Amino acid sequence: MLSPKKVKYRKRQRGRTKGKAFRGSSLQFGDYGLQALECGLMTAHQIEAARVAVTRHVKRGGKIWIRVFPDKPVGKKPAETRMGKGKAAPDGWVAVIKPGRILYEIEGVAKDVAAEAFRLAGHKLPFATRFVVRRS
Amino acid sequence: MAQAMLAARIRETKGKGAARKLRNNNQVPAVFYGPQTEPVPLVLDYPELIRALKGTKGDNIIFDLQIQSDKGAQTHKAILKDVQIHPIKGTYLHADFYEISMDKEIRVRVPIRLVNNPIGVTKGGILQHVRRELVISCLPDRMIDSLEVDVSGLDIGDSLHIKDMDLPEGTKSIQDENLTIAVVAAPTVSAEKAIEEEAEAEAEAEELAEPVTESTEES
Repeated sequence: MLSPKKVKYRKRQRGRTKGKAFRGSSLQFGDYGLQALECGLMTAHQIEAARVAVTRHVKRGGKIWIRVFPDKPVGKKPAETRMGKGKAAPDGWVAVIKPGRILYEIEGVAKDVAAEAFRLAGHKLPFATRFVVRRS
Repeated sequence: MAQAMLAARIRETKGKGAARKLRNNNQVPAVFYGPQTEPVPLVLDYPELIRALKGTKGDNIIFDLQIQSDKGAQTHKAILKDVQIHPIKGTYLHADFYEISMDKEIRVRVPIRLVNNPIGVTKGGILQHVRRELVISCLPDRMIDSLEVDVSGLDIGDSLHIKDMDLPEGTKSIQDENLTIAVVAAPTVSAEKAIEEEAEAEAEAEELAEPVTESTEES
């Protein structure tokens, strides 16, 4: 699972997501990619689940790039706990995703294989995605 | 070298509110500048920009930019230095035009296209296109749309560098000649992948075994 090696502060404010991802919104490495169409938080587990879905469908060949990194800590209160009593302990890591962000890229596979792999990966994610192709 | 004509008007308004109004009226804010020219804010008609960009082959286009102002129309030679695109809709948001002189060398980015299938790929290797653009210096009339590189001779582990490319006459690369363009990497099977493959094979074996048990129950 992806997570930062070291952070300056253990807990971070939740924040809110506004605007579009103008940076990281174009294909840089591969021929095909998966692009987010909505904003949201992508957990390290979801990043890994989608990666595994792509890898399993592609089987052999191809190179995959993960273009997002979960660098934001999120907390979770224990079960059956009353509200209050301070901020919850860190529970996991998320990547903040804005519409337009390229999440994964792939190279070295046929277009239909890449499209199906990313369709499967998109089902693991909490927002709408689309398959994008490099402009030739 | 592709050429296109484009009409533009001088833009009086500035700022994001004014730019949004223009975009809503099917227009695009733009700017024109150059080494000897002060930046001039412009406005273009969106359909005309689309026709100029998509109707011409390649990205490296020399524009005859006709700028309408109170003093009359002036034509300038320009290239598209930068264009902002909406990340979702793919529409053009803003364009930068850079004035050129036909007798002065310019630097342009040229896409590199790999042609033919490398030998290494037929053996199971993966062709990685490491560098997709090359920055070249040339006179505007020597500008090229793309560079085609034959990679059929690349075996597994082989790589292609800028110094191996044959550039057309009148153009020269301004990047380090040792930079890699493409490489045929060996297929790597990590321990994790091997485990996943084993698990998949087991799952498939179980799926095959299931119908047999069902048929025995029915009988």
